[in-house]
Amino acid sequence: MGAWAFEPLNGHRKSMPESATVSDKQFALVPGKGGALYVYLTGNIDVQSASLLIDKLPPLIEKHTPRRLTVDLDAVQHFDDFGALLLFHLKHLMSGLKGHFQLHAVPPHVAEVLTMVDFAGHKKCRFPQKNRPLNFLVRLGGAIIDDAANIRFSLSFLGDILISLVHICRHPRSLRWDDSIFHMENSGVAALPIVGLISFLLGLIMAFVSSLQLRQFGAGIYVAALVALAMVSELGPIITAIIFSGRSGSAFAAEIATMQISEEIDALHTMGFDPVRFLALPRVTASLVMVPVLTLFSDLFAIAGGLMVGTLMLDLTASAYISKTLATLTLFDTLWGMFKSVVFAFLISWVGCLRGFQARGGPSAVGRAATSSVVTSIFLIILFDSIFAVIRSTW
Amino acid sequence: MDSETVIRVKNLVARYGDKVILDGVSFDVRRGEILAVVGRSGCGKSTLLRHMLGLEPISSGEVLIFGQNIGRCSGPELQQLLRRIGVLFQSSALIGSMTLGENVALPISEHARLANTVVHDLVHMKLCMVGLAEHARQLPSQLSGGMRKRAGLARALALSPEILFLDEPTAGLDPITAAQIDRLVAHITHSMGTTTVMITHEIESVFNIAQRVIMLDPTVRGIIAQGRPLTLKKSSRDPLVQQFFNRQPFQVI
Repeated sequence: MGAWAFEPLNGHRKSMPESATVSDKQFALVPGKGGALYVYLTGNIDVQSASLLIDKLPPLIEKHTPRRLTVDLDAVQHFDDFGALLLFHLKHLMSGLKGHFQLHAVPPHVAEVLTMVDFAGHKKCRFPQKNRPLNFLVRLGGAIIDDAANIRFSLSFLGDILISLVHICRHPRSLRWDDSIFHMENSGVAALPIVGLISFLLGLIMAFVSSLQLRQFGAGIYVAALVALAMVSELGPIITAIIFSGRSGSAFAAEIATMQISEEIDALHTMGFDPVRFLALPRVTASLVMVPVLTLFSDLFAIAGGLMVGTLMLDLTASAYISKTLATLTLFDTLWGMFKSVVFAFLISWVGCLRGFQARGGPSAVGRAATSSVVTSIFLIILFDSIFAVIRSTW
Repeated sequence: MDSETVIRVKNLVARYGDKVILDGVSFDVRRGEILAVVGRSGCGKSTLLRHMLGLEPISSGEVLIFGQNIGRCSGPELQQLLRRIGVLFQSSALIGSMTLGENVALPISEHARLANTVVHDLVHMKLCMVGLAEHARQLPSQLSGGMRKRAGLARALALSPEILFLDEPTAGLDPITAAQIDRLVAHITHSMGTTTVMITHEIESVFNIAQRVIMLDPTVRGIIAQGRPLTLKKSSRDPLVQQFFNRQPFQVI
């Protein structure tokens, strides 16, 4: 019995039914002499009953303000750690009332549970408080250190990719072509329907909105020029890049992050593979090839959308619309759009792979990597597009 | 099914696609018993566990838990049945975004009507039982594999289940921690009358705590031997049983 075997109850047990002031199916309270109070527990004190008893018993005991509480467990049948929790609460209650707590007639099976949960040594649980918010300067310093480490890792990763790209240009066979083609199919060919549909609708909307104004001046034919120029030099590369970052950049981040947290990347490293060349290069190469191709398709679908509005709403002939489109576009515009799309492709694939490699922790790190890759990619796309706009305007 | 039989598996056939994993497996588990399920890798131990928990559709046969066919239970009836069961998965299956304390508190807060402070005390008690009380605020990813396994056990014990299913409870643990878990499982079973079904490869655990053992084998897609562990080791004439219990390399027999 050890720590919970205490003094006899001096006949109180026999007089329990008569003198019980409060009784229930599972407990009875019997006041004794000199501020003593006896609690008799019966039946199953377990997961089914303990929560009710934890609610009921303490207020009843508090009413008596006992100096000494004795809990008799002789008639207890099934007892589990929820029962131990009840006893623990009564013990804690008595320590709050500056009274004495004791157990009596502890059956062996109850004693075993109490030993298992270390009832004698158990203290009121105090989970460590949530960390207090740190001082502003400490937080600022921490953020600067984290950001510096992040920038350092990002630049180092960028360097790794650029060196690997140069290596591939010199040794094309070192590229994992199977993986690259797989990613070209997965992130390029499979993205064609959604890129095509969105670009078609975008071209349609642009033509429709601009036609409302231009038609008033009899300049409906310029809808073709507007759609072609806006799409090929600006919107085509941007919209394709945004779709690609949401669809494929996030997938790159999630795939690599999953590999990172499941130690697959460590395994590659220990097998003598360079994880950047093994995982990042095929994705970067696939993106560099497929994003410009998707951009080209995006331009074509948008022009088709404009053509639909031109022929159905502006009474233009298809040949007139196409002639105006071709006359407006220059080779430079098209190549400029392609160049931008190559830069965007590099940014998206770099950021996607980077966020994947940076992932640490559990499964939530995968979600964080995917989200962060999309947000960072879109920011970089817009930032670089602004830079390109400035360059072109000052050219 | 008498009141002392808490689990009855009757002619269970388990298959994945066309591949039959278990073919006509039958056995009972009695109240308060620790049953170990052993066998070579790929013999269908985890498949058996998943079918016993109702996680896989049963092709044929039935699994009765407390007399209820788990394959046909649904809704509140199934919830009620599952509340009486605790499961420790092989990978621990802790929720990564929650601390250990929150993981253990999750089933308690959901199913037991207790005040938050009481839940905290109970969680503390459960984590004490597995020696992790100091780690209540840590995330699973910040812990070692062995600690995660113990935290998984604390969560499995959260509602003081009547049946405890353990999938490889001591795999990958150091001998001291493994012995502690064995002792805890034995204590819980003896003191609270819990029934335990333990899938394991650890022969030492089987001899330490299991009262009965069932051995599955992929060649017969079912049980090839069952009985008390020591009796099986000493008296079984089945060469596969002897190879398994004596840790001999597999030979085609």
